[in-house]
Amino acid sequence: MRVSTQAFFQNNVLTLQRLQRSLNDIQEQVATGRQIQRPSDDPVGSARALNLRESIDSVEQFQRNAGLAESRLRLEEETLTGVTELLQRARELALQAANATQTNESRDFVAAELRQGLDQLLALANTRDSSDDFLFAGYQTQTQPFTRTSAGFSYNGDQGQRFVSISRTRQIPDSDSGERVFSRIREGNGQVLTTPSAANTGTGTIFNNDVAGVTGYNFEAYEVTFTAADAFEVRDGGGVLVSSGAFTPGDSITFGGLDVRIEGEPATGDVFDVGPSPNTDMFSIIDRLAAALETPVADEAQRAEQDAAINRGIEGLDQALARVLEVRTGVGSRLATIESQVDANAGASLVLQESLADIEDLDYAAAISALTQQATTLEAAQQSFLRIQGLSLFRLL
Amino acid sequence: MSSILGIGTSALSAFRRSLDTVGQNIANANTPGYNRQRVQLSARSPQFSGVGFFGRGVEINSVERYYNAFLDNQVRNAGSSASRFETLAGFGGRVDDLLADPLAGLAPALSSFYSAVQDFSLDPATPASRGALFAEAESLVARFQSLDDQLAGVSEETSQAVAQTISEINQLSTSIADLNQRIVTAGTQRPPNDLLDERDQLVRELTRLVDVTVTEENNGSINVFVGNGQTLVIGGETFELEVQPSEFDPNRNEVIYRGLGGDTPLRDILKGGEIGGLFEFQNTILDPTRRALGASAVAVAQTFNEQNALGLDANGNLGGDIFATGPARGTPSALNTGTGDISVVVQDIGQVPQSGYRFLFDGTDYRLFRDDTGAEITLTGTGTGADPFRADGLAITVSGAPAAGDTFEVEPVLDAISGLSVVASDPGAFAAAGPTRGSADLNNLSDASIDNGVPLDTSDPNFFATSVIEFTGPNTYSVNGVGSFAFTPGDTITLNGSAYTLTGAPTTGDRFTVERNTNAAGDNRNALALGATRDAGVLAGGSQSVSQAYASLVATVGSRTRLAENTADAQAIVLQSAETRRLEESGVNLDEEAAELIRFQQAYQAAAEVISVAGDLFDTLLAATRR
Repeated sequence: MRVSTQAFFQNNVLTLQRLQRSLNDIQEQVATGRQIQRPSDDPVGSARALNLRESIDSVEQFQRNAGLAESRLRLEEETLTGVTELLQRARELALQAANATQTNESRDFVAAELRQGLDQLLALANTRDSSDDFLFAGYQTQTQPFTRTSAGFSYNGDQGQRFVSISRTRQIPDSDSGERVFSRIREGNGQVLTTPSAANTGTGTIFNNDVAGVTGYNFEAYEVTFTAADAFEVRDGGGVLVSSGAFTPGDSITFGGLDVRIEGEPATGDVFDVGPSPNTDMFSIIDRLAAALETPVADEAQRAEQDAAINRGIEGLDQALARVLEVRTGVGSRLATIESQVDANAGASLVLQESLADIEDLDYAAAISALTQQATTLEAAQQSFLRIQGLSLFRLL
Repeated sequence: MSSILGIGTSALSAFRRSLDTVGQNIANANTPGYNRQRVQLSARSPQFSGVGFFGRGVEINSVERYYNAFLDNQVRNAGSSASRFETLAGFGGRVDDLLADPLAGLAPALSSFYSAVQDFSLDPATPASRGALFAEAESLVARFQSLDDQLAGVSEETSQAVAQTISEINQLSTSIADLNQRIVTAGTQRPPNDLLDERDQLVRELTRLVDVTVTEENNGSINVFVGNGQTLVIGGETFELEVQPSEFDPNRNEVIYRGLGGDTPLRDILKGGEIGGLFEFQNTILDPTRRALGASAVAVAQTFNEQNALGLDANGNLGGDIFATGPARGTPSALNTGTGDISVVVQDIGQVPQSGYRFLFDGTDYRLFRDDTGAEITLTGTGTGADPFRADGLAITVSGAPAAGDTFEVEPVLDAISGLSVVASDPGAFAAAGPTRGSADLNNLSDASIDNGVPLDTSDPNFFATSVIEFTGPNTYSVNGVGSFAFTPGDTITLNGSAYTLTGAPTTGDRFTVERNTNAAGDNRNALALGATRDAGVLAGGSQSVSQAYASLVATVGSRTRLAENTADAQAIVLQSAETRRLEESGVNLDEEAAELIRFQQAYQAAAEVISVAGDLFDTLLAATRR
């Protein structure tokens, strides 16, 4: 085989160039620490890397969201702890006020403390978060949710609840509307409220807590009237007689799916209203309780009226406490959800990072050994080229 | 006596010529395209002298070059293929680098834009998060545009490269025609080696630019054809390829063959070589990339705008457009004779394939053809504004009076990015809040609750109206005291263009109010929905999110570039070995020439010695006769 001088040089130059190029590629990999310099090095890997990076970014965002939701929920939980304490103190005060040894003056002191507690409760309901947003205003975070008006207390927010994405599929509320927490409290036992008429002259009291079996109750309003001290009749909202009979103190009266017990001695003409629980806010419950305590008591009938008011207050506070507990439980379970999601996200992020590293990161051991090998080959090629190209017949002429 | 002198002289002359040729070989050892030459010697015809034939010396038959047409053809083919893939890989690599640059690619910009949307949803009331989102929207637009600008730059460059290559092809064909004439003049008796070498070299250079077919005539001239047999050179004549502005876009170049039978567009006909690589790059990498990016821009803009229109902005109004994109292109050909014009609107970007279209009027019907597959697409509709032609997610409206045969170019997304902008004037334009809200009356006896509504039709005239749903029984309700509608717990109530969900069992007398959402600074319902557009499948028939589509674009461009690079490497080796084989036969080996040099030098010395002996003989004879 002939070898033309031109081909000899050309081929050697091309070989050296090819070796240098692959050496350069490896050098670039080692210098950047990345397996893939450009998508064409590994098209599928590059696309996967882009998708992985996108997933990692969004997981990071979810973690950030979760952090913010968690801090808002912690603030809510702290606030609700305060609310619970205030409500419990109010309940203790109400029980204390119900004691027969209390006088009009001592009840005034209790009422004063209740009113102080009410102010604190109102302040807690108007708590702001770190962004200066009202925590319990629903969507209307720039509006103070609870204000005292001449008619009582008004809620100025809405029933909205803000959600935060903590994973691709999971959104979690980071707040509760103030209406649900503070305003929408069912008085009485939560479904039925019984109230003695203010004009009653007897000492009969009706206890909501003793209202049993509300399964068949259909939000109907009834009026229990004592036609005599030992006889009663029950009429519904339309004045239709529902039930009537003889009455012994402590007896249960059954009507409309309800089982109502009245203690004490009702007088002839005494009227008790039994109806569906209305929604009230907890401020009004405390406010009314304080007002009842501030009203001086002169006779037995007034006393029975006050007792009924205190009872109603205690029942209301129980309902409020139950509501706060329910909301706190919700907050607690959301916090637990966030915590487990944050763990899951962190785990997912780790797996994603590892997959990304598998695709993108350089195997240094392999790269360095390839580098050494290529460098050796190049050196050998250069030396042999130098030696061979010196062999020319012309040098011997 | 004179015969020996004649023999010596013929030898001297033959060996001097041979030495000349060796010198020529050594001189051209590195000349591209040079084929080594040898003087062909033969003994002169002998003279009969009665006792036998006596030789009369040596004569030069011809100077021949070592040339193998088969090997040369292999070099041509390998060269054409190598330069095609080299060009494709070179330009492809630039797009490849551009797309996946960790800083300059689209992925990081998309990611930080959608992160800003999420941050905005966390705290919609704060001007800071709105401002950050606005800035991110602008930088997303800037990123799209910078990518598109760079691709436009590459496009411009390829157009120039096409023009440049075409002019080189024309120059080469002129030179080949010129050499043809000189070779024909030189005749076929004695081959004009250096002219042939030069012409072969020019043909090899030509095949690096474009695939050609070469046929040889008996008179030594060659004919060169391109494409489907379009003549480039025939004898001493050439036909030029021309670059002229496209009929649809004066800024784009088309290559035209001006033949005897009229003009032929060559874009899809010229194969191989640099020009083939350039066209292939434009058709398989550059245009698809620009279309894919355009489609992504349209997808981001449309989905974001659509979602934004379903919420309330900072001023409490339904959100307006945040992004605007360039319109779809529907350009009449410059050759059209009618007055028809078309306008094209992208209705569903997920259905739009990554291809351009030809839209034509055949005299009775309008017809649509896809550029990439050539397939005809069935149109529905009548083409009027009220009932446009619809196909592939596009709506085409026709105006004016086209003549039969008039053609229009349709490019749904190619101009989308050049017209991409943030049209919202301030950060308040982002709609974070839901448009409506529902609330349960505080005096309700049941604990049933209502949600805030999902907007279905914001154009409903009563969309923002306040309505009261009042339950006249557990399973019937009236709206604003009118009518009686059946209700089963779990039902969705559609009212005023929104759908409301009631949870729990309402009872008689329960009232629920639905109304315009006001004062809702902290409402992030629509912001969450805006954030969810990140993962929404909007492209490729609804199967890919924008970032997934981008990743698959990167994979496509990457693998095409990789294929081109690998093939280019392989073709370079094929070319090298073809060239080596050609040079094995035709190339100069200096050692060999050195040996030849010595051989002919010695022969020359010997011939000189013959003449010297002839002289001595003469002297001897003279001396003998002087006595």
